[in-house]
Amino acid sequence: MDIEITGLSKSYKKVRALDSVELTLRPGIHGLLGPNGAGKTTLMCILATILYPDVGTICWGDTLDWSKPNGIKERIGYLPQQFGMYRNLTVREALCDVALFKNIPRAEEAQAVARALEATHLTEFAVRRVGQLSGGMLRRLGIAQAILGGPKLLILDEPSVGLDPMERIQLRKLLREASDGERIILLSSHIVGDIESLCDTVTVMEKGHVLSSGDLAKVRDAAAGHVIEEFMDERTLRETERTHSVINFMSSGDGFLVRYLADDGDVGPRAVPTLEDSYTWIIRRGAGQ
Amino acid sequence: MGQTVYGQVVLTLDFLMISIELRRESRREHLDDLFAAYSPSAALFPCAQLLTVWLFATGMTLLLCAGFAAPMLLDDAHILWLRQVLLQTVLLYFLPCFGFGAVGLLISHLIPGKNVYLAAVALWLPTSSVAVYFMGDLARLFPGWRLFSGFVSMGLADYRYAWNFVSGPPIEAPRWVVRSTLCLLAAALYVLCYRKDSLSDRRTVRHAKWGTGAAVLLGTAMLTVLCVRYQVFFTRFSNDALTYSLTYEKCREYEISGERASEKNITIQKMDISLSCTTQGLSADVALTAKADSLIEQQAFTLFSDLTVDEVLVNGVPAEWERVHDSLTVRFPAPEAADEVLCLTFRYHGYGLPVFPANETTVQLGRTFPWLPWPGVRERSRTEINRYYQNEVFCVADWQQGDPVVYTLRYNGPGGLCTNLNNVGGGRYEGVSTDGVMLYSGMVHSRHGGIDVYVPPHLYEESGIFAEAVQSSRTLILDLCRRMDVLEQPEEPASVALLRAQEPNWGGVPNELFPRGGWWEIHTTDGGSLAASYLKRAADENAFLTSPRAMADIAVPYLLSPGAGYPKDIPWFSTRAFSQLLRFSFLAPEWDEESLAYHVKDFQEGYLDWNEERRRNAEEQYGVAIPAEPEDTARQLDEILRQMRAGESADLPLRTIYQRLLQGEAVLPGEMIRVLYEEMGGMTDGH
Repeated sequence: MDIEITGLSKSYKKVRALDSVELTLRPGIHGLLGPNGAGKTTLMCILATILYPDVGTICWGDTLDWSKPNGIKERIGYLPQQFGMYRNLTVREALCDVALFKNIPRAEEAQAVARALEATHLTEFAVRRVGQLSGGMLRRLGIAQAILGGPKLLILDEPSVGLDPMERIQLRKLLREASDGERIILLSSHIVGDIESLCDTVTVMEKGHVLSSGDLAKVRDAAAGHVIEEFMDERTLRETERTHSVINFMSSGDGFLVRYLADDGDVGPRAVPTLEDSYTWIIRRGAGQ
Repeated sequence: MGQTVYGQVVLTLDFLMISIELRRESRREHLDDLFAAYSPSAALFPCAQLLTVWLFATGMTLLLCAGFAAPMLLDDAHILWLRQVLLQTVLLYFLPCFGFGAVGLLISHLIPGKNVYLAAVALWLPTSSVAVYFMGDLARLFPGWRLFSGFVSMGLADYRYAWNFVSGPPIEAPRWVVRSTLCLLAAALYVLCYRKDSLSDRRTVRHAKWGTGAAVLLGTAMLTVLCVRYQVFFTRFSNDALTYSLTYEKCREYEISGERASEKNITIQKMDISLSCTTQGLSADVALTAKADSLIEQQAFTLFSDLTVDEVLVNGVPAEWERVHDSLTVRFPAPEAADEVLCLTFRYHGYGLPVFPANETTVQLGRTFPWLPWPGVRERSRTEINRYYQNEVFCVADWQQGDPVVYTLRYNGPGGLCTNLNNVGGGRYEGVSTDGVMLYSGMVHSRHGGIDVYVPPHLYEESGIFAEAVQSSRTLILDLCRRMDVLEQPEEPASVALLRAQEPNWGGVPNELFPRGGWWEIHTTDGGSLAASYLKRAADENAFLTSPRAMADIAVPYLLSPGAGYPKDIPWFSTRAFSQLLRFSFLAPEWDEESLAYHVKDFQEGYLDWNEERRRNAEEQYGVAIPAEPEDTARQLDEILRQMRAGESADLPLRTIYQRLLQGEAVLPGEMIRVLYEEMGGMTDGH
C-alpha cells in the first residue's frame, strides 16, 4: 500500500516548516534529502504521529489515515534523530519496554524481541547495558526498537549520524535487510552517498517544499548535461569557485580534477551526474526560482 | 530537631532529586518522542514516571512501617498506638516524599535546563523541615507567612512531631487533607503539562491548554477553600515554633500584676454544657443555674480572652455584657435579690491557647484553663512569664474551686475522652465536681489497684506503673509536708491521667504531679514520668521511698509549685533558691568535696551575685529592695552544706523559711542562708 500525502502544511509560529507538500511513498526505501531546515524532520514527526499537520491529509491505502493516529501507531517504527534509552537497562530490557509501549502481545514479546535482536545482530549483546554500547551499537538498538513488531512503516531520521565508516556500511546492510518489499522505509540523511546506495526512491526538499521526487535514477539524472568535469590549475579552480557551483575537486598532479555545475553556454566535457550532482543542481535551481 | 525531622530533610530532598533525575535522564527528550510515537495516550509516560516515584515512596514507607511495627508487635502494643504510628508514618514520610517527587517531575518539565536544581532547592527550603530555622523570624516579619508556611509545608510542621510522635494527637485531619491535595495537584499538573506539551495539533493543544488552565484554577480554588477552612489549624496548632511564638505573645498579656477584679457573688449549682470541637475551634452553649449570694446587679466572669461571646441571657432575657481581657461582666436586666435562683446562658466560640487546643483533632482543656465562664475574675500571675513554660500562666489560681456543681456535658469532638465526669453514653457526660471540667481526648483507660488510669495509647502497657508512681510519690510528698508543717496535703489517688503538657518549673526542677482531690494528673512533654522512671529503677518501693534523689526531684518541686497549690506570687529567686536549699538537704550526704564546691559556686552565681541590672529588675517588678550580700555569705553557705553533708538536719530552719514563703513573704536567698546558718551554725558552735 502506498502512502499518499496531500497538501501537507505545518508552521511553527511564523516559520513555515512544510508548505503544501505532495508526496507518494511506495514500499521500499525512500530517501529524504535536503539542507538543514528543509522540513525533513517535521515531515517525519508528522508521519510518526508525534506532530499533527496544520492542513493536509495523509492516507495509507483505503482505510488508514493520520487523522486517526491510533491505527497508525500500531504500524510504525520510529528512530528519532538522537536515539536514547535508559542507560541502566540491558538491550533486551530496553526492547521489552518498547514492546510494552508498542502494545505487542505479551505472548509474542519474547519472539519479537529475539527477531529484532537477530535482525540487527545484537543477540550476543542482549544482556549488555545500554550505557555500555558504542555509538554504532546504540544506533542498531535504535533500529531494533523501530523494527520491533514488524511495522509496515519505518521512519528513520538521520540514522547514520555520528557513525564511523565501518558502522555506516553495517547500517546500510541492515537497512537493506529490513526492506522486505512490503515495508515502507523512510530515511533522511545529509549524506548523499547513504541515500544513493540504499534508496529506491528519493525526495529532495528545501524550505518546506518538495523540489523533486521519484525513482533514484530519475532524480539522479536531473542534472544530466549540466555537470562538467575537467582538469584545471589552482588559479582556475579559485576562479571557477567564484562563478560556478563546484561540487567536488580532487588533487591530481600539478592541478585539480574539478566537477562543477555548468551554466548555459558553458563549454566543457559533460560528465554523467551522480545523485550528489543532481541534488546540488536541484537545490540551486530551487534557490534560483 | 528530632530524628523524624532529620529523616524527612534527607528523604524529601532525595525524592526531589531522584524525580528530577528521572525526568532529566540523559537523552530523555528522545524517549519522549519515542513514546509519543508508539503510545496511544500522551499521559502514559508521565503516569509511568509518577508511578515510579509512588512505588519508591511506598516501598520506603512500608520499610519504615515494618521497622516501627515489629518492636511494637513484639511488645504487645495497644492497637490504637500501632494504628496511630502507621498512619503517622504515611503522613510524615509517604506523603511528603511522594509530594516532593511529583513536584520534582513537574518543575523539571517546566524548567528543562540545569536551573531546575536552583528552583528545586528554592522550593524545598521553605517547605521542608529545614525551614524551622528561619520560619519563626519570617512569620514575625510577614504575618501571612505563618499560614502559608504551615499550609504548604511538607516537612516543616513535623517539627512538632519530633516529640509529639508518640504522645501527641493521633492524626491531624487538616494536614492529611492538604498534603494529599498538594500531592494530587502536583501529579495532575505534571501529567497535564506533559500532555499539553506533547501535542502539536493546534486545536488539540488549545483544548489541552484550556484543560490545564482549568485544572490550575480548580486546584487554586480547592487550595483556597482548604486554606480558609484550615486557617486556624495552620496558624495556631500545626507547628511548635509558631505555636510557641503565638502563645508567648498571648502570655505577655498576663504579665501584668493584677488583683482580683471582681468577687464571686453567686453560687453555681448546675451547669449544662453543650460543647462542639471542630476545625473551627470550640463552640459552647453553657446554661448555668446559680443562686445569688447577695443583692447583685452585675457579675464578672472569667472566660479566656480569645473566646468570642455571641450571646448572654439572664433568665431567658438578653443581657448586656462587657469584655475586658479575660473578664466578662454581665449586667443583669433587673437586680437579683439574695438567694434568688438565676439562669444564665452563655453562647461563645473561638480557640483555646495552642497549648490548650480544642479542635477536631485534639481536645485538651485542663481545669486551670478558663474555657468555662466562672464567676469572679481570677487573679493574675505575678511571675515573669517569659522565664517559664507556656501554660504556667494558667496554673496559678484554683479559680474554679469551691462550689459543688452538677455538670451535664453534651460533647461533640475527638474521641477517647478522659474527663472527671461520668460517661452516660450518646456523647453525654454527667457528674458533680468542685473543680470544673477537664477534657482530654485520645486517651486509653485502664484500672490498676483500684485506680482509674488514663494514658495515651502508646503508654497503655505502662499504665500500672503510673498508678504506683503516683501512690508512692504521694507518700514522699506527705513525708515532706509533715517535715515542712504543711496543712494542705494531697488526697489518695482515685484517678490518674498522664497528659501531654509542659511541666511548670517554679522550683528549679519541673513538677509533674498535679492532684485535685482524688484526681491526679501527671504532666509530661515526652511521655515519660520522672516518678515512674525512679520507681522502675528502684529495687522495690521501699528503696524508692528512702531515695534522697526521689525526695529531691519529686516531692520538693511539688511543694514549691503554685500549680500544686503552694507559695503563690513569690519572686522566682525566692522559690527557686529555697527549692535548691531544700534539695541540698536531701542530696548533700552523697556529695564529695568537688560536688560540694560546685554547688556552692552554682548557688552563689545563681542567687547571691546580684548585678546592677538584676537588682533593678527585681526591685521594679516585685518591689523588693535587694541589699548587697555580706562577703561571708558564700562561706556561710559552704558551712551549711558541709553540715548537711555530715547528716545534720536542716528541717527546722527550712520549715521556718517555708512558712514565711507561704505567708507571701519574698524571702531573699541571702536571708535564707543567714537563717540556716544561724540555726545550724549555732548547733555547730555548740558542739
